[in-house]
Amino acid sequence: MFENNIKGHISKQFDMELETVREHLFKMGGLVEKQVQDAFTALVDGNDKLAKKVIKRDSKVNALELKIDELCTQILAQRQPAASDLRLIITIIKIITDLERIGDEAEKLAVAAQNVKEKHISADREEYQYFSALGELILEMLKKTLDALARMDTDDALEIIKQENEVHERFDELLSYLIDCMKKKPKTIKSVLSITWSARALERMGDHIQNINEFIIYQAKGRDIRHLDLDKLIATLDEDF
Amino acid sequence: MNTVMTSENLTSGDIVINGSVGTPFCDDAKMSMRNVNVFYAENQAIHDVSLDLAKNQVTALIGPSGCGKSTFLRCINRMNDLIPQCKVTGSFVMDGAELYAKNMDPVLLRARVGMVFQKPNPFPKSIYENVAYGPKIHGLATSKSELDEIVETSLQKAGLFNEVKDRLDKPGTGLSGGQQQRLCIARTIAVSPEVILMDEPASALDPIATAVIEELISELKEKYTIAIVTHSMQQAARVSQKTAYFHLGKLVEMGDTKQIFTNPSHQLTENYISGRFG
Ligand SMILES: Nc1ncnc2c1ncn2[C@@H]1O[C@H](COP(=O)(O)OP(=O)(O)OP(=O)(O)O)[C@@H](O)[C@H]1O
Ligand SMILES: [Mg+2]
Repeated sequence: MFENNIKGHISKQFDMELETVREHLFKMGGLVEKQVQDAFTALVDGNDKLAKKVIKRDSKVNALELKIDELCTQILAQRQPAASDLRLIITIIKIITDLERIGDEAEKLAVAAQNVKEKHISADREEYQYFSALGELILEMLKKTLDALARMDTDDALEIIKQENEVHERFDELLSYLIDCMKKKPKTIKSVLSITWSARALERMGDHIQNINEFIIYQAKGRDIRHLDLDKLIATLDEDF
Repeated sequence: MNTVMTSENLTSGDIVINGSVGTPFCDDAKMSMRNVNVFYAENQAIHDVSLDLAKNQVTALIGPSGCGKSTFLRCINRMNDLIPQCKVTGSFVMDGAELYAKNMDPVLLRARVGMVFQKPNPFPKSIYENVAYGPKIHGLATSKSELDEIVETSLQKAGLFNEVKDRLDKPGTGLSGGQQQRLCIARTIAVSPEVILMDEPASALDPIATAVIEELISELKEKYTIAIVTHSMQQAARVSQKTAYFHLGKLVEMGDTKQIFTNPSHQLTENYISGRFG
């Protein structure tokens, strides 16, 4: 779908411009995925060096966002895209904002990893399991989202959107566990709080991931499905699948 | 885009045009065309087209070169009557009256349904006479002062009066292209039409003159029903509320302009407005 969307213009130059945007978008997606993966690992393993790397690399994510913005602006001004081309450019402009924010959240995880002097979340501790469960879910969703984006696959996008509740469930589980911890062992409050903030960052990533999937559906179907609840959304899409 | 799209190179491939999709009809139609077929001798240029022109709205007719836009537009004020070998079938109803009925006078009809052409074509007469000609032959003015007033308001509505008020007696052909086109619009308006048909009215104009004409079209729709043929997608998107996409003499899709340009239903419409081969 994405491929089709780019090729076949009478103007080969236009095809090439869209291809360039696409390459940059995938590069940005790959980079953000790496940021999230590394930040998560840095936090769980207490890897200070890795955390530093993540923080440094965030500027690359920002630079890519600016570059893609510029490429899209140029296409809007010079090509005046219509129909699915127009939706594609709008989709990309919106999606890179969410990708950039996911990058910011990853940076927050990395900063938290640095602040954690001892290994707060070591493998033998219980909060590790809850935290990892949330982190791994987010990572998996992000990977699937980037795949769905590459193929502009609305079925996959919808599947990921349906996982939204899972994110909130895992977040709530983790949170009630952390609250318990704080009650029982007031000494751990400081470290538990930093896990809480990190969990919040992961949850926000989940929100941005959902935005991306909504735009994948908008691009492919021409339907704006933001702010619909899940049942309505599925009903709407069933109409034209 | 350097390649010119024509019906020949924009093949429809295996995409079948099977009736039109979208919403070609509306509740507040000024004109209703049904099952229109047009032939030039043996060649059929329009195949079973049905659509409405919504009252006080601008309808854009778009499509590749040779798809029959001008042919269809010319049927609406019976200009095709003037082309030998051209045969029109189907029904054209304006406010309940059939335009091709025996008792319909085509000359009077063309005053009610005016037309503006691609190339501005003022008469080789003064600016004043260009505008006054129609009202005179249709007896719309009973006195010289009444005629003066029709000329002035028409020029004003066409957004030209201030530029020409000091040289109304000078030849219309001495105006710039954009001014000439507005003069032709003033001439069309002077006979108080109900519908205005425009066939690529801005194709010979620079961007400023084009913007002036487009602004004018937006204002005119308050009083008139307008159909415009244009090759500029952006122009269609800017000035119209409804868009009809023609392909090989057939109406492929018609709907709200907003929808056609962001989310067309038919693949051929999508290909055309996004500049792709079919
Ligand atoms: N006077 C005529 N005599 C014979 N055939 C004609 C005449 N006018 C148009 N045609 C044919 O009818 C078909 C439709 O032509 P028409 O001019 O309506 O197309 P169009 O959509 O207005 O094209 P363009 O965008 O190039 O103006 C074409 O195949 C054309 O050759
Ligand atoms: Mg024409």
